[in-house]
Amino acid sequence: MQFAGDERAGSYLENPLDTFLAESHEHIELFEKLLLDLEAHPEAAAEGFGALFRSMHTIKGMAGMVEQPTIEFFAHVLEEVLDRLRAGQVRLERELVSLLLAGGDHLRLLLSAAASGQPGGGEFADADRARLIGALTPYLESAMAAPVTALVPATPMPVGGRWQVSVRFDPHVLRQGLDPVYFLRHLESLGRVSGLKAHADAMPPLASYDPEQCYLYFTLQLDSMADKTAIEQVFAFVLEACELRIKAPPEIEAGWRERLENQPDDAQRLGELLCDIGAVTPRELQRALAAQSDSEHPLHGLGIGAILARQGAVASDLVTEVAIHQQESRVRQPAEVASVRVPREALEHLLSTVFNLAGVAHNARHYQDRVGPGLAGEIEAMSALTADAMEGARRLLTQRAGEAFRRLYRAVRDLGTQLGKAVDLTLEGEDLEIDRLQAESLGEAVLHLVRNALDHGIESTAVRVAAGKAPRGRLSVSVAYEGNELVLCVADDGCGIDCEALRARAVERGLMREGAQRSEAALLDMIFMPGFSTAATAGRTSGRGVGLDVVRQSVRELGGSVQVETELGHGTRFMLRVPVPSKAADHVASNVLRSSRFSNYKVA
Amino acid sequence: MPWAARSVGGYLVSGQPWIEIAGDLTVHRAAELLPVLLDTLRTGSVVCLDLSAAQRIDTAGVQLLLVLRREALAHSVNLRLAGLRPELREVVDFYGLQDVVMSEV
Repeated sequence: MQFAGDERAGSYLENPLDTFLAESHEHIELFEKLLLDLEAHPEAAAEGFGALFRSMHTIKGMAGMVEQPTIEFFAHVLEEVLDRLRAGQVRLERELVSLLLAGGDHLRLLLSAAASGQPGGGEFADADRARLIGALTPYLESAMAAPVTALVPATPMPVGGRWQVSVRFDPHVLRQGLDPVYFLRHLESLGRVSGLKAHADAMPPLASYDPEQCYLYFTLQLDSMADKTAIEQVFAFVLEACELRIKAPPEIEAGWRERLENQPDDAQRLGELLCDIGAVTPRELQRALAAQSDSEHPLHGLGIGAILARQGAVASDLVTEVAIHQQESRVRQPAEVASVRVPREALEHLLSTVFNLAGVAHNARHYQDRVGPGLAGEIEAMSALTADAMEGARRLLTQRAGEAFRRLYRAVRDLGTQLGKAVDLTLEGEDLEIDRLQAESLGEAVLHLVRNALDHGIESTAVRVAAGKAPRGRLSVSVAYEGNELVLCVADDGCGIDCEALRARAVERGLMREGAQRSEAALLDMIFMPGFSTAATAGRTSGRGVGLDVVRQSVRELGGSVQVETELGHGTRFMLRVPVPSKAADHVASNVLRSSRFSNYKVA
Repeated sequence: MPWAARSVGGYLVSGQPWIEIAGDLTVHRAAELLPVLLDTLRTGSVVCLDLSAAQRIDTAGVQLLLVLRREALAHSVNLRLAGLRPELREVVDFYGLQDVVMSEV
C-alpha cells in the first residue's frame, strides 16, 4: 500500500481497516478528478484511462485484503469497465461518465458503512448497487475469440414472449459478494419477471450446512422482448460461477425454425448457424467449441450440435432440425430420421383404402358436369387430394435405387483395401424409383454379388497388368426397367468363370459323372448350388455365410430370376430380373390383392 | 428475555416470550447467527422471534430462515417469525418463499 503521509505509518499496523478506508477515499477522490478532467479534455485519454483503471484496481485489491467482499466486488465491476476503456473498447461518453461518478459515490457510501461497522450499506444501497451494475453491464459485451469471427450479431427478434430461465449458482458466490438477488432483480430491467421460485431441495442437513454457501437455485419466467444474449448478459459478472439455462418462448423457437429454413444452402457450420439466428449465445458456442477440442472433456469429439444440446444451450429437437437442414450426420443418422417401422396390416389397410378412394374419385369425376357448381368444386378438390394421396402411397411403396445401393461404394472400398485390389465402381440408374418391398432384398443380393466379384472376379493389379488389362478393375451395377421387368446387372471385367473348373468340381463332388455332357449354361447354373464354390478362393469369403444360392432364392421369392454370363479372362455378368407392374396404381392394387407378397413387408 | 404482551402485525400475543434477534440477516453474520437461532428452538415448544432489528437480508439470510424453519418442524417447535421489515419481507416474497419461511402470528 502507498502511504501518503508519515502520520499513518503507525496506524496501518494497528488497524488495517482504518488504513484501507482512508486510502480508498483518496483513490476515489483521484478517480473522480480524473473522470472530470478526461471528460473536459479527451486528448489526455491514454494516460488518464490507465490511472483510472489503477485507482479502482487498487481499491479492489485492498478490499480483498481486509475482507470487504461487497466493496471488492463493486470495485471489480468498475475496474472491468475501466479496463475496457483503456483498451479502447468503449468510449468515454457523457452517460458513462455519469455512471462512473455514481459508482464512485456508491463506493463512498459503502466505505462509510464499513467504517460504522455495517458492511454492505443497507437494503436501499443494495438496490442502488444492483441498478448501477445493471446500467454498467452493457459496457462489458465480451469480445469473441478467433474461431467464431464469422458470426453475425443476432438480429433482435421483433416479437417478445415468455422465456424460461433457470439458474444455479456456485456455492461460493455469497462469499464473493455475488448475491443472486442482484442478478435476478436486474432481470426486471428486461421485462416482467413472474413465477420466480427459489428451490431449497439442495439445502443440506444441519450437520453439513455452511451458512455462507449458496444452496438455493432459481427458476422463473421472463416476459420480455430481449434476445437470448441480452438475457444472458444480465448475469455477465457471474457467468463463470453459475449454470444458466435460458429457454425461448415457443413463438421465438418457431421463428428460429423458420429462419433455419430460409438460410442459404451454403455450408455454414451448425454452431455458427445456431448463433446467427440467436438460438445460442456467442458465449454458449465458445463454451461448446472449447469442450469439443478439449481432450480431457467428457463431451470431447461429439458433434457441436450434440454438445450444445447436452450443455443445455439449445433444445435437442431444434438441433435435430438444424442437422437435417444441414445434412449433418454427426447428430443423427439420416436413416433413423427418415424411416419408421409400421405394422404391415395397418399399412396394407391404408394403401387399400387410398386405392379405393382413388377409384371413387375417378368415378365421381364422370358426374361433375351433372351437378351444381358447389358439388363440382368439391369433387375437383377431392380428385386433387386423392391424387396427392396416391402419390404419397407411391412414395411409401417406392424408393430411389441409389438409396437401396448406398452401401456399395463403401463395401467396394473396404473390401478392395482388404484384398489389395483396386476397383472402380459405377452405378447406373440411381434415380430410378423401385419398389420398396423389393428394394431391401435386391440391395442385399447386389451387395453380395459385388463382394463376390471383388473376391473371385477381379484380379490383383499385377495379374491384370500381366494380362494386358487396365490396372484398376471395373465393376458396374446398373438398374433399369425393361417393359414389365426391373433388371439389375452386376458386371465385372475380371477373370471370368472357368467352366472347365466347374466341370471338374462337379465331378469331384459327385454331381456329375466323368465325361458326361453338359452345356455351358447348365454348368454355370451350378454356381448357385449351396456350398458350391471354387476351392482355391473359398477361404477368403468363408465366414460370410451367404452364397449365390441365397441370392437366387431371394430373387425367386420376388418372382424373379438370376442369370449369369461369362467370358473366361474377360469378365462376368449377373442379371437379376424381377417383375414389376408398370404403373403405381396397378402396383397398389396388385399388392393389395396378392397379400401373400406382404409376408416380408417392412418399410425401413 | 422480555416477558411482555407485544403487538405484532396487528395481532396481540400475550404471555409469549419474544426473543429479539439483533442484527442483519446477511452472509456477513450468518455463521454467527446460526447457533443463536438454533438455540432459541430449545426454549420451548412455542418460540417467537422478533426480527425487527434486522435492516438487511440477503440470500444467506433467507437460507438461514429456511433452515431454522426446517429444524423447528423437525423438533415439533411452533416457530413464529415476526417483525420483519417490509423491505426485507419483500426479498422473501421475491423468492416465493413467504409460505415456507413466514408464519402469521
